[in-house]
Parts: sequence; C-alpha cells; structure tokens
Amino acid sequence: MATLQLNSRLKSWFSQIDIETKVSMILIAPTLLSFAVLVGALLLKQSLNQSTQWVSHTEEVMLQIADSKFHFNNLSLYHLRYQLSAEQGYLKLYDRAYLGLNQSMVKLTTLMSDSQQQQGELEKLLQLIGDRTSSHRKLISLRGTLTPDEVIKAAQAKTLIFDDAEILGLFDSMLATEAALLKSRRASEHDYYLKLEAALIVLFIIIASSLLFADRFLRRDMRLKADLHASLSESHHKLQQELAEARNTLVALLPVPATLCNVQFEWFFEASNHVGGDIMDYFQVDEHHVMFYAVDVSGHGVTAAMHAFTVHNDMLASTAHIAELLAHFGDLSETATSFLTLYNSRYMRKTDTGEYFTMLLGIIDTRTGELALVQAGHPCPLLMSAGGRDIQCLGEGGFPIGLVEDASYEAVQLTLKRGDRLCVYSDGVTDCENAKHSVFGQQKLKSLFRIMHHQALDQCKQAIYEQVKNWRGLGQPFNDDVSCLILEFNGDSAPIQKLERDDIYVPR
Amino acid sequence: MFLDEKTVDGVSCISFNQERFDAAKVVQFKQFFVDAVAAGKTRLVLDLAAVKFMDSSALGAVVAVLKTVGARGDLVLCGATGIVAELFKLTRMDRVFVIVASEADAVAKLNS
Repeated sequence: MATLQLNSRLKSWFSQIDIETKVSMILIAPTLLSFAVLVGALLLKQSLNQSTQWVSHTEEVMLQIADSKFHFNNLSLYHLRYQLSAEQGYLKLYDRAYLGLNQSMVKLTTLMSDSQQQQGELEKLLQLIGDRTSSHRKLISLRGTLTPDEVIKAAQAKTLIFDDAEILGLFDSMLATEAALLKSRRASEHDYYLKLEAALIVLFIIIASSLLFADRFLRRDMRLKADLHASLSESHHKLQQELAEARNTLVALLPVPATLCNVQFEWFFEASNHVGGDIMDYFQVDEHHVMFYAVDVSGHGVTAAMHAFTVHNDMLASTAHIAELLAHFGDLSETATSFLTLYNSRYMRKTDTGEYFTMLLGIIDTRTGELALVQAGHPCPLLMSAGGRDIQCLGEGGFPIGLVEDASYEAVQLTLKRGDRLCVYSDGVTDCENAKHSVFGQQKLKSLFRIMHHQALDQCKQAIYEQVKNWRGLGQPFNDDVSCLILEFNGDSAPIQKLERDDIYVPR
Repeated sequence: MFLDEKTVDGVSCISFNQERFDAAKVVQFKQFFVDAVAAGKTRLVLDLAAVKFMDSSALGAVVAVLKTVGARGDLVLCGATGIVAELFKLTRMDRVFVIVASEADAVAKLNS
C-alpha cells in the first residue's frame, strides 16, 4: 500500500517536471557512469604501472649481478640476460653453466694425468673446487630460508661466495620470481582489460537504453504537444468564430444612423479585438424627449462585451422608467441624475467581479433644445456651437458606474441651438497611440471637429474615424475600443412625432 | 515584478516602477496587496510617480486594492501626475482616495 502510494506520488512528481529536465535526468546516469568508468580505468592503469616498475627494478638488480660482480668461467651473463627472457633461454643458461663447471673438471683431470710438476696449480684448482662446493652447499642450505633479494644482497656484500652453479641457482630463483611477476602482471593486465571491456559493454548498454528512453519521452512529449496544438488550434478557431459571432451580435445592437425628431445622430465604433466593451444607443423616451448614451466597460474582450450587452439591455428596459421619472420630476437633470444614482446602486449589487463602466448619458427636450448631460467617468464631451465659432469641453467628471456604492451624480444642463453639435467619445479615441507611443489627444479631436463643422454630419464622423485610424497606422488594430457618437440639433423645425410605445426602439 | 516595496517609519511604501499600468498587470497587482494585507501590513502607500499611462482596468484594480486594504488598514496614494491625475479627477476617484504629492507626505499622513 505504502509502495503504491509512493509510486503514484513519484509518478505525479515526474509528470510535473518539464521535458528538458526529464531528458537531463535520464542522461545524467550514463554521464556519471562514464566518468566513474574513466576514473576506474585510470586507477587500474596506475596499479598496473606500479607492478611494471617493480618488475623493471628486479631486472636492474639482475643486470648488476651479471655486470661482472662475479666471475664466471666462460659464460657471458650479460649476453645470457637476453636469453633468459624465455624459458628456453633459462634452460640454456643452466646447460652452459654446467658445461663451464665440466670444463674446469676436464682441465683438472688433464692436469692430474699430465704431470706431477704442476702440483701447485692442482692444489689451487682443488682449493677452488672445494670453495665452490662448500659455497654451493652453503647456498643450498640458505635457499630454503633466504628470499632471492636477501641472497642478492648477500652476494653483493660478498658474505657468500658462489660458484657458477650457485649463481645459476640464484638465477633460477630470480627468474622464477621474475616469471611469477610477469605472470601476475600479465594476469592483472588481462584482468584489467577484461574489466574494462565489461565496463564498456555495460556503459554502452546503459547509454543506449538511456537514449532510447529519452527518445521515447521526447517522442511522447512531441506527440502530446502536437495533439495539444491540434486541439488548441481547433478550439482557437472555434473561439475566433464565436468571437466574430459575438462581435456581429454586438454591432447589430448598435443603432442605425438616424434622425430622431430633430436630433441627427452619427457614430463610429471599432473594437480593439473581436468584441469590445464600448456600446452606445439613442432612442425616444416619449414624444418630446430623446435620450442617448455612450458606455465604455473597463477591460476588453468577452467579459467587457457581456457587460456591454447587459448595460444595453438595462437601458432599453429603462425607457419606460425614465419616461415616468420625466413625468414625475418634470426636469431633465433631476431625471438623469436620479436614474443613474439608482442604476449605480443596482449595478453594484448585481456584479461582484469588479467590472465597472464609464457612461455619458444625455436627455434632450426636442421642443426647447434643453439638454441634460450626466458624466459618469466618461471623457468630457465636446460641444461646438453652430458655425464652429465656439468649442468647449463639458462636465467635470463623475463616478463611474459599479465602482463606488452610494455614488451621487451631477448633471450639466444647457440649451442647444439649431446647428449645435455634440461629440461624445470613448477614451480609446484620445488615448489611441501611434507607432511612437504618442496619443491622438483631445486637442486634435477638437480641431478636427471644428474644421469639419461645415460638412455634413456623416462626413464629419468619417473624417474623425479616418484620422484616428491613420494615427494608429494602417492595418494596425486599435489598442482600445474606439467609439464616437456625434449629434446635431436641428432646431424646432422638425415635426413632433407622435410615438406609439412599440415604436420607441427599432433595432437594426 | 513591476512593484518595489520598502518600509519607511513603519509604513509599507509600494511604488510602481513601470510607465504603463494596464490590464496585463492587474491580477499580479491585486494579489500583491492581498498578500501584503495577509502579512499584517495595514499602513500602505502606493506611489504612482513612474506611471505615464493607466487604463480603466488598472483604475479598477486600484479601487479593488482600496477595498482590500480599507477594512483593515489605510492606503494613501502619491505621485499621481498628468494622465493618471486626470483619470482620478475624471472618475472622481480623487474624492475616494487619500492622494498626496510625495511619498514623504504619504508617510507623514499615515503617521499623524
């Protein structure tokens, strides 16, 4: 049970780390192992070198012995040294040593049979043979107790006198030592190569399996990513389509350019991405009153657009309420402010997502040209008197809707004259940035609005749109939703329309 | 991180160190203050001197922060100039927030 838990915990841990780390983790084992094998091989080589050095040391001592430290009848040990390397040579040395001793014996026999006169020389030879025999015996007795090294030392110190046979015996043991050393060196060499070979095979297997493992991981990751990419691009495509649909729906909510009673409306709107949080509308509240508003929901995208839909619906549904308020107060400003105060507290209760919006709300009495404007955080609208003589920014700001509870609103009230124009815009227009990050600004909008005063309202709107678009740069999407509503008051010449309730709002 | 924090006379002074304060920074910005309040910091200064552009989402975030801090402490804004100051004025937020000119003024205000 515990193992299962650990296993699943390990699995979840492993699935959380990214693919690069996984591959590194897989490849770190063979890397460390390669390093270990390298270090091991170096250490083995080192110990092998030591034993080789020892072997050479023994060879050197033998060379010293051979190098005329002793006299041997007719043997050249220096020459023999090279024959000793093989067992055959070793046997030859033996043979020739005995041959030398035999020759001494032959010489002695000849002398003994030749003459009695050479008694002195005979004595010496006998002495020599006697010495050698005793040395031989001495050596034989010592061989059991002394190591070859000790024998060599003794020989060098001349505490032992050897004859040829004894030296040969010495060589015998030394060669045996050398042979044993060589044998063990070859064995360890063999062992070393065997170990190295085994380590290399293991290493190869580990590297190969690690690479296969890593490859599997990478492939699986690639496959997963490819699948993910496919499903993402599919859902992205779907989302794009849905966003386009949402945009179409939102645009369909926008009113057609129209003249309501004697107020002419024109507008332009462009979202920063597929859907935006800007919305506007205008409609008749009753026979004599026309209402308009422009809204900019904070943020962009779907959430902002959904809030824009909500606000649009709310405003539409409030028409009757506003008509009642107008009848009740008989005053444009009071109607507009009390409506917004109520709407703000209702909106605050409804939403807790922190979304809010700025709004500019206006109600016009078409009979008198009286206009009440309430500015709920929306940029100050521009009022241009007929003929473009005078242009001014209206209002001093106000609380946005949905940000502060118990917010109260103030209205700006004025009387429009025939030909007066009002421009209501979202901050997307004035904050529109060009490639150098400098903003379009209110001043440019003001002068453009003034320059276009003698042109028809739709041309004025078109000019503003094109200028803002050019400012942004051709083909560049806006950095914020851009909307602008322009109206012109055509005086009291227009006939008063008798309204049926159903005709209040006719969406396109 | 676009926010720097230091403590002056027991007051946490948080300054925004970038020119643009827009929707992209809102989530991190709000979380920073939620964490600060959770860590027991109740007297806070937000210095907006470096900010040259602030959008509506950013304004919403500052209001959200005021609501986060408001119940348990005090928040004073400082350094708002140009477009930022205009935005606060246009939306009447200059009446909702305590706004002073400099960080020193803000600290003094919180310590008075």
